[in-house]
Parts: sequence; structure tokens; C-alpha cells
Amino acid sequence: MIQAPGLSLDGIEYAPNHKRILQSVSFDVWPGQCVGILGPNGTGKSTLLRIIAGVLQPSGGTVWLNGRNLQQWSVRERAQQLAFVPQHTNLTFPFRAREVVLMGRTPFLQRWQKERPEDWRIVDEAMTLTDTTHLAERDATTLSGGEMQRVALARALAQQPSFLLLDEPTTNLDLRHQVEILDVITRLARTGVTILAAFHDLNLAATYCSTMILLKNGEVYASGPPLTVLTPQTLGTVFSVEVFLGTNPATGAPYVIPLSTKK
Amino acid sequence: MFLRGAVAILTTGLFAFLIYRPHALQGATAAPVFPPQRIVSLTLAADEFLLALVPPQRIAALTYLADSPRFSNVIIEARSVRSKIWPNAEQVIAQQPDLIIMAAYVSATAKTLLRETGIPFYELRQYTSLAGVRQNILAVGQAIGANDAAQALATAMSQRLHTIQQRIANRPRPRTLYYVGGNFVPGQGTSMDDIIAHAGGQNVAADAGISGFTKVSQETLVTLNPTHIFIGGEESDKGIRELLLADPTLQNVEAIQSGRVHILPPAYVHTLSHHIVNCVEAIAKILHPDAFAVPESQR
Amino acid sequence: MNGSAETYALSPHSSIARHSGWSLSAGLVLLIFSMVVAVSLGTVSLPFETTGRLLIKGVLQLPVEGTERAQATIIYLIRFPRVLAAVLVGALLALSGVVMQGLFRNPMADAGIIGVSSGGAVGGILAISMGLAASSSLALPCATFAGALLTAFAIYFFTMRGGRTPLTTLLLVGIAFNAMLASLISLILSLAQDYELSQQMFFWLMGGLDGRGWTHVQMVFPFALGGFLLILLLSRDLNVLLLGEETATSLGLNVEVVKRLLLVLSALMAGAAVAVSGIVGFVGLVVPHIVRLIVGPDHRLLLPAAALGGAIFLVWCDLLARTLIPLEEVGLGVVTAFVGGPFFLHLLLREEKRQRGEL
Repeated sequence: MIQAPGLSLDGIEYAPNHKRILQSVSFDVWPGQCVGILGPNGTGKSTLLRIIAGVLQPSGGTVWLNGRNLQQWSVRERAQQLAFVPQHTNLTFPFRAREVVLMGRTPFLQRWQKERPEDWRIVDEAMTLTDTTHLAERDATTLSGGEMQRVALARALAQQPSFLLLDEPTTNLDLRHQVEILDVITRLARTGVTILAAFHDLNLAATYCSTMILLKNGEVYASGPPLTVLTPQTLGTVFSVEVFLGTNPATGAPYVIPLSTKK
Repeated sequence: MFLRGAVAILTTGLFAFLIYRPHALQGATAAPVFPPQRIVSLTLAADEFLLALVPPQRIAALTYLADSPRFSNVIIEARSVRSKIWPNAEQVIAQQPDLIIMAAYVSATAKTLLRETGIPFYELRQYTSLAGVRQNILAVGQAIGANDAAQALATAMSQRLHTIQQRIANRPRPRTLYYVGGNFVPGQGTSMDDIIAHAGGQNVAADAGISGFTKVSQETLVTLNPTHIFIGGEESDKGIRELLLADPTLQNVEAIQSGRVHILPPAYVHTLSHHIVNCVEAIAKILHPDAFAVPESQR
Repeated sequence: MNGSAETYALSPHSSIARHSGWSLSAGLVLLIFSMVVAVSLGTVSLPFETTGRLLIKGVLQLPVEGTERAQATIIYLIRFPRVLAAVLVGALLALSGVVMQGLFRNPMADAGIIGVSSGGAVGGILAISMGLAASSSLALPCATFAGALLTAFAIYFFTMRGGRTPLTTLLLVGIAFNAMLASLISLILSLAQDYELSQQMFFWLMGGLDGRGWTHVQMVFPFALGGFLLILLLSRDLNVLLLGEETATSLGLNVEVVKRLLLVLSALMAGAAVAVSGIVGFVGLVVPHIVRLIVGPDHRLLLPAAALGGAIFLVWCDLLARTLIPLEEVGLGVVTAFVGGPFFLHLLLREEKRQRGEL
């Protein structure tokens, strides 16, 4: 049985003010895949994610979501299928963490509708998964960077999305929470949720992602399983570093050790 | 949820009804009284008119300015009316007036409010000339039902002016300027312009094409070069006069050189009633002293 | 730690406002009390019993004896509509402030600060200087609406960046507009030939409710009601918008449309307020903050609470303005500035501390 890709990018371009940030980006993502988007800083990882999330309009090309052009989705429909967690969430006013997560239910409620008991249940579940339950009554503006990141993730999980887009989901997290979050993500993927996450940590991505997309200068340089993508030649060209490639003894995934800059 | 909505709609409807229906005060309203017996004045000019035209029993209240030694021409007469009020809406209504006299430049909001109360009011207009003052006398007289008194007053005013005209007829008109601190001067179309004209002077501001009561530049002031400058203030209030005389940029102005900066009593200068003739007379006496000189035999 | 819907409904922020119905009812009671006090006090002192009796007679349109006619006029035609005007203007200014603070994600935003009130004032000043205001009492409000709305659109137009409006730019452009409009007002004032007209303009600019009666209440009521209902509909959008524009988009909000609607609504409400009272500042800044401390930032509760709070605040400020000095009126803008100015400074210092990470 041929399964249709849940998400398809076809020749995506992003060139505001004639500055070419993304160019002919095309790839397919299948349901339940956990895809890592990698590349040097400034290469357009965030931009790509935002375009897929529908938050940014591409200058050219199409994004296909569940076989339908993303442009043809209404904002609300899209929000019911796709959740996006940006790198930073800045709150101006002191909402409580639980209220923030509750806002993840917005796409499923009418304007005048009050939250239902099942919405609160979903919120509680999301907060349990992200280990943020003890933060529920805290003023969200007083949370640390890592705590806020987990609350933001909980908010996205409360959307019960089929597609989850994460921009650098582990940057501010301590080791324990990094592992925890990535476990959550992996489990979600197994239930059929499609995950796309931008990483700058190659090894973390290698451990948790089944597929990788490596960007260089706004173009797809390599894509495929980590073993294929993470080769010394590829990494040398893209990152201009000499690397030693080992194997993670625990997971069997490739392990990258940078040695020196490339001459 | 529907109950809340219904309550909300009902409450809103009730409020809308309360706000939009006509707000008349039902009451024992006699037909408007004429001639009015409880007149309230809101301007000093009206104070001065009323005291000249009707007995004090018919005046419910005058303005607080009627008692002002600085501005009032009717301090003594005003003592016969007990209530002196501020133009505050509540205070005015509390006098239970059957006619209010006020100036036409009062804002639209105040007028709308007054109309809602149903109290008749009369607006004084045309206050930029002596002829206008005369018309006001006659109009007020009509409004308060004192036509004969008004006619007499108007005639008396005209006669006084006529006498002054006769004395100064055919005399050359000195270059005159009226000055207010901050370089404000009255030009064409102002009451002061008309006063100066009737007093036998030449308003240099009007000649220069200045209209209305306007601020002019220091240069203009120098160019106007009057031979007489008048300012409004009391003898004790010499500040502006000293400033003018000492101003180095004005040293070439004739009036400054000759020290002809004259102070007029504020009550004369600011009045818009028949007492304005006092101002004409005062200026005329200064501009043409020999026309008013009392002959030796009559002193 | 499972929670039930009742326990967590709109989790408010202090023990005082435990339940949304409770805090709004308390606010309403406080408002009615304030209105009663305000109608009972004024230049002319009247016994409380008389006030109550005549007020009821006025509302029910019962006949009034000749001797009490003057008092009834004072209470029902002068004080009562003025207090109502204070209620409406206060509510409008507070609501407009809440919306702007949410829209700009800046606790320092309000109609006065970003220039919308000044725009309304320019419209009003033009109407007065051209003599339109004297000819019809509806000319002024139309002019202020036009001014406020035009300014809001202009500010929006100048801050559009490829279909998006960065909020810091919006605020800065608003500040620039405020400066330009203030100069324009000075220019029009200085060019005014008619001394009395310029006095009138100046008095109106200072802001106040002197002489405001039923006509003004009738004029502004539909805008207050309409604006309030429309903005309530958008309260959830306001909440979500505060998470950030990108997050809001990903949650299903049509961010640009919502921002435009919010801008227009807040300008309309501010313009309506200016039409009645001239420029009265700080209400849109102070009231939302205090109310937010009591009932929390959820706009579904914050908006109605702020409307009540603004109404109460302005009723008391107006009462002070007309009774502080016997027989004279202190400008309403002066009173609100006296209260709001120090509060503004306090807010500023607190924001600075917060940005430096000390809070």
C-alpha cells in the first residue's frame, strides 16, 4: 500500500527584498516520522519551519498538507491539525501557566464558548507529559527560559495536533528535561503524529530523528536517515569542520565529534 | 446562558429607553412669564443694561463681576440686587429664572443644556461696534419688556456721542494705538477700533490692514508708530506702561518718545454696555484736550 | 492533580475576585453607589432626601411642583446626565486602553499616548474654529470620530511592513504623531482670529464634562454599547494575541484582520470619548492596570471589569473636578493627570526594573 506523504514541500522559495534565504526546498514527510532540520546558523531552518506552519508566506513553491495546498486551508482548520512552537514565547501580562496551555484549545472552541471539562482534561494531560503540572498556578512571566519552553510545548500538545513543528525545542533545557521532552516527542511520533524540529545539536537530532534534512545556504544539501546524512564529507562541506564520526554505543546512531575547522 | 442573554437585552433596552425618550420636566408650568420678573444675567454688559432698564426687584441675579471695582461701571447700582452669581449651571438654575441673558459666544453645549431645561434665554450679539451696543440696548429692552426705557437709554447714548463728535469735529486725528500685553492690538472690526474712531483718533492698526484682535510682531509695532498709545489698567497697575517706555526696540516710536502712553480705567475699556461712551469720552479728552477745556469763566 | 471546570474557570488572580460573576456584581454595586453620591453633591447643596425623590420623579416622569422645579432641573437635567456622561466616557477610555495594551503588547499604551486622542482633538478643534460646533451640537462628535479614525488608519499605514505591523514601530509612530498633532493644535490655536473662539477651543481641549447633558449621553451611548459588545467578542482573540503573533497564527487567529479590527474599535471608542469630554488623559492607562491586578489578564473578565472601573474612576474624578473649589470647575484632565501622572511614573520605573531583570 502506498501511503501518501502527510507533508510535502515543492520548490519552496523565500526571498524577501531580493535576499535569497530559501531556494528550491523540496521534500516529503510521512506520517509518524520525526524529522530533524539541521544546518549552520542563518541557513533558514527557522524560516522553513515558519513557512510550513503557515506563519510566513513563501515567495514561491507550495506546501502540501494532507494532500491539500496549505494556502487553501483556513487558518482555523490548519490550527486544528498543526501546532507550532517558536523558539521564544514572550508574555507581557501575567497569565498563569495553566491559562497559557489552555489557549492551545482555541482552535476547537467557538468565540463565545467557554472551556469544557474535556478541554481541562487535555490541558492536564499535556502538562503532565511535559512535567509542568507543578507550574500550573505560577505567573508565566516569572518562569525560567526552560520552564517557559516546556509550557509552550504543553500548549502545542493541548492542540492535539497531527503535525508538530518545533523550533529548537531543547535550547534552554537542562539535561534531564532534554531527554524527557525528546522522549515525549518520540512517543508522540509512534502514535502517528508527524514531527518536524529544527536542531542545532547534531547528536541530539541523530538520536531521536528517523530522518534528517540538512540545509546549506537555503537549499537542501542532503536528506535521509542520519547514517546517510551525517558523513564527514557532507558535514565538512556544510559546516566547514573536520569531524570524527563515531557510533553512539547506546543507540547505534551516528555520533559526531568536531575536530577542527576545515582548511 | 440564554437567561443571561435575555437579561442583558432587557437591561439594554431599558437603558436605551431611559436615555432616548424626551426629557421634559413635567410640572406646574405657567405659560412663559412676560415681561420676565426673575431675570438672571450672565455677562457684565447685561448687568449694566438691566440696572439701567428695570427696577432691581425684577433682577434675580447679576454676575459676580457687577461688584468688581476693577471692571464694573455699576458698583453702586448693583448693591440693590442681593444675588451675585458665578456662571455655574446649578447656581443659575437655583435662582429660578424666567429669563437668562447671556453672550452669544457661549458654547453649543451650554446652549443645548439650557434648551433642555426649557428656561427662555436671550443671546447678546453684535458686540464689536458702538452701533452694535445701541442695537443690543434696544434688543434687550424688547426681550425684557422695557421698550420705552431702552429707547430712552439708546437715545441718551447717541446724544452723548453726538456731543463728543461736535467738540472734535474737523480736528486732525492723531495716530492712535490700543495695546494689550503680549503685543495684541485691536484692528478693523473691533469695538476699540470704533471707539477710537468716535473719539477722534486714527487707529493705526486698522490702517495697516490688521483685522480683529490680533497678535503682531515687534517689527509691526515699530512700523505702526502711533503718537498715542492707550492701555487698559489701573493707575497702580503700571507694569505694562513701564515696560513699553523702557523697551529699547520701541525707542523710535513717537508715543514712547513723548511719553504719551495713557492708562484707561479697565471698567471703561472692557465694558460693552452704554457705559462704553465713557471710554470714548476719556480717549477724546486725551487726544483733543483743548476741545474739552473748560473755559476760565466756568471753572 | 485533575481539576474540574468550576474550580478553574477563568482562574482569577486574587482572593477578592474568586468568581467572575462576583467581582462584576461588586463592581456594579460600587458604580451605582458612586453615581448616587455624585448626583447628590454639587455646587448647590440639596438634602439627600430631595435628591432621591426628585431623581425618581425625573426618571419616572412624574409631575414636579413649581417650587421644586429648579431643584429637579438641577438634579435631573444637569447632574444626572453629567454623571451618566462620566460613566460612559470613563468606560470608553478604559476599554480603549485595555485593547491598546493588548494590541501593542505594551503596558504603557493608551489612546492618548499613541496619538489617537490627539487626532480626535484636531478634528474637534477644526470643527470649533470653523464655527461648525456652534451651529450643531452633533458636528463636534462627528469631527472627533473622523480625526481619531483617520489617525488610527494613518498610524497603521505608516507601520505596515510587507503586510505585517511590528508593534514597536507602531508605538514609536504613535509618539511621532502625537507630537505632530500637538503642534497642529497649537498652530490652529495661534491662528485663531476670534479671541472668544480660541478661548472656547482652549477650554474644550483641557477636557471636562461641564455642561454635558442628555444630548451628549444620547450621542455617545450607541457607540459605547456597540463598541463594548464588539470588543467582548474579540476578548479571546486578545488573550491569544498576547502569546505572540506567530503563536496566535498557529492557533488559528487571522492576526492581521484581528489587529486591524482592534485598532479601529479602540480608535472609535477613544474618539467617542473625546467627542464628549475633550482630551482627558491617563484613564486608559491607570484603570486597566489596577483592574488587571484585581481580576487578572483574561480579557473576557478584564474588559467588562475595566469598563466598570473606568466608569467609577471618572465619576469620582468629575465629582472632585466640580466640587473641589466652590463654584469653580477644575479641569477634569487636571484631576486625572494628578492621579494618573504619578501612577504613570511608577509604572515606568517598574517596567524598567522588569526589563533589567530585577523584578
